[in-house]
Amino acid sequence: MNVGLGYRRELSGWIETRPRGVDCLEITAEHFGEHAGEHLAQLGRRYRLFVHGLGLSLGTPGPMDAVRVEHFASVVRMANPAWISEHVAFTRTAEVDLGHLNPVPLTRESLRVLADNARRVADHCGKPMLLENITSHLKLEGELSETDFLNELCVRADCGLLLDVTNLFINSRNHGFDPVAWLHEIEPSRIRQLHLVGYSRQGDRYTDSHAKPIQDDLIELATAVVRHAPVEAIILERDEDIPESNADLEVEIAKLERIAGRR
Amino acid sequence: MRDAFAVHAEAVAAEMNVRTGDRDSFLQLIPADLEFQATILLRKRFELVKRALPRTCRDLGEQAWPEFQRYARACWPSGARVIAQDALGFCAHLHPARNGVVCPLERQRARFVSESNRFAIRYVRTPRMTGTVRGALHVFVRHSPSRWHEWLLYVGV
Repeated sequence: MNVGLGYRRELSGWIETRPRGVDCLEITAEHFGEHAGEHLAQLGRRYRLFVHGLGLSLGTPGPMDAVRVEHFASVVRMANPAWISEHVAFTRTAEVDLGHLNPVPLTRESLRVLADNARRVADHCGKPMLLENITSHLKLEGELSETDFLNELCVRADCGLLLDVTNLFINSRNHGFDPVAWLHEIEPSRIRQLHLVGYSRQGDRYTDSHAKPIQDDLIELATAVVRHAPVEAIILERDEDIPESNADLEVEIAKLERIAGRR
Repeated sequence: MRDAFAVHAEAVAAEMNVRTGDRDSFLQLIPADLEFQATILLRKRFELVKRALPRTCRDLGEQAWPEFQRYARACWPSGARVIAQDALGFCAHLHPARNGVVCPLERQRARFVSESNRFAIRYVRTPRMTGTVRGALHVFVRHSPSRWHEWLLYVGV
């Protein structure tokens, strides 16, 4: 099982040192431009790479944004990743670009839109696709349960799941369900990659700030996932309050290694 | 619209032409959850605008986030270069009540980034390192949609 982190400019110095335990990197497509080929090739020589999208809005009906799809595909060509990933979400409608991830209703129509768009992007890039679950403070009722929706989506889109353990934990606390029971409703063979980062609290709500060290209850849940599914990679998804000390980063990677059974 | 939803959800559903099949799900949304989700999105917008207007937001201090919420609640930019448009919109919101807080260089930069022209020269009045405010030409040259150079040429002695 590979262990790694999301590539961030603030971490580039530390990544250059080939830190212990890190053998893969997740590249966020929107963070790289047209001149990134040499840089991505250099990273690819040292690490297994995955390319992750934020803005394709697979859940939006209608034609996809051709400029964004082509940009994503160009980063994929430059990085030559093992797989690509995006979200079970939408970021814009015909009228407005919300700029960030929002939940889709769990309906057959949403399923069709997501599956079609995911297939289209995967075929265009020539890479396997994983789809990631998101945090939502809204509970959108629909025709399907979330787990049925994800299972059917994976079949229809012929894709895998990028299980964000932190998002699952946050949703379970905010909406009052058992995350392990949820996990056991998911077809295990589809879960190929995990995201993990510490959660935050705002009053009695849990939030995905991507800014905290991984807490013990997340480690426990991630360990349950790894026992349930043939996970191939775990990525630390730290975006904010990135530790200045390499030692703190090494502690976070060590947590992932323990989850992966490497320590 | 969130405020209206909290008071009369059915009227909002009618105004938005929510489809019959989606109506029940729409009406079951909890206003407090909707507000929290919206605040999360607004906060993410704010973090991006803060990067485009670091000095302006720093000078606003604790008022930066409340002011941004007041601006952003009823305004959502669309199209290309949304972050720059958002930054420019926030600057416009701060004028004239807090006009002295808006950094002129950051406003002009946001304006240039939000446009598509390859070259621009703008006159600004901005403090020098000595603290005195001087007139200057703020020059921009764009190399690609996401890369540009800028210079500040102070006028006079």
